[in-house]
Amino acid sequence: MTRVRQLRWIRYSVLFALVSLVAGIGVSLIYRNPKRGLPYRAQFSEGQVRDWQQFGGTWTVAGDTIRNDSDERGAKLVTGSPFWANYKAEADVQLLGRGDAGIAIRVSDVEDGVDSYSGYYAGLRIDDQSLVLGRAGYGWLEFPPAGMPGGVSPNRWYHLAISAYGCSINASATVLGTGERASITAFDPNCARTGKIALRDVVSGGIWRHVEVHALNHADGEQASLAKPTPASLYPTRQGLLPNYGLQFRVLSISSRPPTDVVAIDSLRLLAASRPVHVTVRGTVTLITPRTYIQDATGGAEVIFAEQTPLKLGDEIEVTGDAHREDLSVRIENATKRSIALVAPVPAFSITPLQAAMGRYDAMFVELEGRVDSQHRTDSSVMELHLTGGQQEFFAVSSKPETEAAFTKLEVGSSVRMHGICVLNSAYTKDRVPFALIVRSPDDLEVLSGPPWWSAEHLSLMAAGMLVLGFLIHVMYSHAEERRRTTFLKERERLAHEMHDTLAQSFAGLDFKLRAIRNCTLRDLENIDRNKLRTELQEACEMVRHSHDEARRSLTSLRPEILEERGLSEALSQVGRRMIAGSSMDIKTDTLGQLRRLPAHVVDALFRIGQEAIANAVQHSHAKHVRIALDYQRAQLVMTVEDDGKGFRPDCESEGFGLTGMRRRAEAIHAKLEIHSNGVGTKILVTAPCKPDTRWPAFLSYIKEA
Amino acid sequence: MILPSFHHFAGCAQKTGFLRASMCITVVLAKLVLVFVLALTVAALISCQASRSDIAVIPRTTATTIWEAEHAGAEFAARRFGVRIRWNGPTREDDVHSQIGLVDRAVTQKCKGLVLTPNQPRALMVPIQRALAAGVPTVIVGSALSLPPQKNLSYIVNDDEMIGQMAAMRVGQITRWKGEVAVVGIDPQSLSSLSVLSSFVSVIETRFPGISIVDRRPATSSDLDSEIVVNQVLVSHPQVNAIFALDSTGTLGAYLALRTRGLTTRVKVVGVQQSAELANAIRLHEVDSIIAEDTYQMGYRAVEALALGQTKYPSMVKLAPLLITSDNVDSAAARTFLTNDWRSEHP
Repeated sequence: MTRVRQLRWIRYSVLFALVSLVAGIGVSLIYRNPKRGLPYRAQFSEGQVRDWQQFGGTWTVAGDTIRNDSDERGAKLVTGSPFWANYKAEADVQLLGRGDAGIAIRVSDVEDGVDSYSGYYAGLRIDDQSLVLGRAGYGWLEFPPAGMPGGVSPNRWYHLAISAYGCSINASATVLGTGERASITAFDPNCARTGKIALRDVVSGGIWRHVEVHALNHADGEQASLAKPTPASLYPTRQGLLPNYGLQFRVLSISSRPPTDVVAIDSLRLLAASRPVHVTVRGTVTLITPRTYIQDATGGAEVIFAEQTPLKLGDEIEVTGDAHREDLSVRIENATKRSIALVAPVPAFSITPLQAAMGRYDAMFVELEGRVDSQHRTDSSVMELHLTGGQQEFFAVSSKPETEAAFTKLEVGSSVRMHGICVLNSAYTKDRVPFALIVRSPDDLEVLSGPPWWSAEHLSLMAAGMLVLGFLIHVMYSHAEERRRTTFLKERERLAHEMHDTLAQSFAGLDFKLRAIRNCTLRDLENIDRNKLRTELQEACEMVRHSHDEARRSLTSLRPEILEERGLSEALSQVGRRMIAGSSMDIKTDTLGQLRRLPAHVVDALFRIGQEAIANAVQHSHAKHVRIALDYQRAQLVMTVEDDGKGFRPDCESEGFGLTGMRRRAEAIHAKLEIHSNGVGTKILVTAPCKPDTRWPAFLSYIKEA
Repeated sequence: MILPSFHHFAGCAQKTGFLRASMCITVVLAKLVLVFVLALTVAALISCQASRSDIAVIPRTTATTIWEAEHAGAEFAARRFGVRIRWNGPTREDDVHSQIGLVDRAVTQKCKGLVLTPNQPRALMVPIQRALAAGVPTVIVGSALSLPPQKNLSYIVNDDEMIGQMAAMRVGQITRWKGEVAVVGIDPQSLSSLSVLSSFVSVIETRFPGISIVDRRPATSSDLDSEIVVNQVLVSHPQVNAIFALDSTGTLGAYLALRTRGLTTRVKVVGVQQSAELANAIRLHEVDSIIAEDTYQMGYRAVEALALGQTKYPSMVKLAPLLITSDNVDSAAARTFLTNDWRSEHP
């Protein structure tokens, strides 16, 4: 590249960079413009809520309103530009229940959660009937609220507005219809400067409509700058009197405790909180061995009978005894029973491991799913499975030898569904897992799926296999490279030998001849033997021509590209056609048998032998026809070059035709060279061994041939 | 040179032989993969480094004001010891799943420490074990788990027995040692709640035989449900003289039910867990008293322990509660328990 072009290229590059920079700054300024997209009016009537991002809640569009029906604390719906700075957001808001609902501005860093965002929130709150304004920043700091004239009640429309200019924040609410109004003005010295808007509620749910955002102008700012810093209030301890709730709370019809001494099992934890209590409970037997458990609709408990008591699963019994609480488990000791009925065994509660971990289902018959992590025997020789389900881990223990056998058959990593008694007792959990499951029988165990294929063992094996494969490929590649290099070296060596044997010798002879001619001409010119000089010159010319022939032959003996691309037969044919170009000689090529790939050094040797043979036929035989034949037999290749020329006597004198080189090459590939010549032509046969084609079995060879 | 150039690639492609070309491409791709893995490793190291300075503080919920004092304590300790806290919790006190998710996230983000006020002592066992296995130092505040204190795990909890005793003594005092009392807001799945109940019942039975505990009701998750439960108690036991509520939801429900029935003067409410709303009700003499938990100290000490190293702290600390009545509700001592201003230091 010339210097001028380089300079031009640099100039264009700099220009392009400058244009890109300017364009980037322009786009950035447009994107970061604090008034971009303002004024904004939400188009809920057209169902356009795609620009809004939901953080909790159940948000639906109804007519020209958007509605959140959930009672979640802190559900948010966010939209707008994160670079909006000084603006006013307003909307009509309706609360659906107890709690508060409103609008947040300058919202950023939003997550699911109550106050898990940064920004300012103004809302109407039913609990203290007030307009509330505060700042959230993964926590909540509230400015003094303002009581709402006329109160705050559900299912009533309020117009709510919140604005921010600099660090002055204003909020106001007006009762639609009556015009009653409340407002709060606050100044936050270290305020949040920019952010989006959000619709937000806490517990109440709500409906919003006519959501609009307007940029504030300089006049609004001057008015806002009059605001004084507002000390953070310690709401509501500094709030003064508790507001009048004004709500009508329901008083339900209340049923008194049933006039019986039988208590629900779930009340035993409360009754036996401080000391054992004598109780009577009713329940269904869910497990007999190794321990006895009963359960009613509310909970379960372990029962230890005062004396041996025959029981069956599904027995409905009334148990009287002393209830003891041990952590979260209840055990009824010194129990006596009264049979009530025999019913079918209770079905299992289908629960998640998290529900089981929370203790509500202690001593109850449940159904759980989990993945087997390991299996081992405890100190007391009980087979135990360690399982993972969701975010929890738990043990499964067998209650019978048959169940142990089923446990043993499980593969680690299998997903299983199990029925059993959920227990929190530390005798089973060992304080390592939140609960354990006592599995009653093999029928309570169902394998949902086996372990995944991608186990650590399989992945290790695969990695090892890949390594071995990679190593083998590397070895093969290295081997091929080595052979290629060796071939190059041999070819160089051959050329060196050939040039030494032919060209170098010829040049030496030529030098000798030319010296003789020079010495001859240096003598007396009158006495020059002109005949001798002519003879010497003729011989020198012959030597030059011979050297030229040798050089040409050496060059043509270099491996042609066609040999690589189209094979030996076509390469020999092309060489022959080139040699006879312009003459009346005819060359014919035949290929017999199934072509197959031969080693490169074998092909090279055969090509050169064939080339030499063709050259001899063309140059010396005066033949009219030359035939080249390749016969691919099962374990050998026979190459034939024959002509119908005058022939020669294959004796020592003929070796000058290159027969020595042909023999040497044939020996190098362990081939057999035969020369047949009788006055009517010459036939050169080369029989080279080659491996049979093993891709087809011998007994199927007829199929291949077909 | 690690990075393969275009010329390198082109040079490879020009070389003859399928095997050779394949090997060249393989080598180039291997270098690209190596560079990608190195970049990922560097990015991961940078992100780990950034998150290691945070202490995740996870309260039972961010929806009630009682835990804002813990927020204040944690925030102030963080400022003092030059660490940063990440305050977030479930939106509901019974949302255990969400709290487990927050714990797991703190582990994933490799936080410098974790302060957890567990919603449910058993369901949080496994997530905390995961945190400990990942080397995240953890302080459990509020109520203990079933896991014993160990390396990287310590407790700063309420003195549950003292809460029960304090409540029983107050009930004995305001009923003049006789009458009926009902207990509401008991969490049957919480050892802490059962411990408070056990202590309360023991003191009532041993010191005030003239007082009978006529009802014991489990906790509810909302003020409205709690109000319904207390209404049921009032119908079942119209002569009840006092109600002992073991949580703020139960206390607020009792207060609302008594207000509706006009019984705030005759039936006294003794509650556990402070809130600003209940403090106002005490000022109005509509709730007799609340036993406040020192959540500010819990937050402060937990962050302090994590910032300075847990080995310098006892593995189990029990914080004494404070009885707040109309006599001391505006005192400096009570203000310490009642404030929810997480931006300023406590007196």
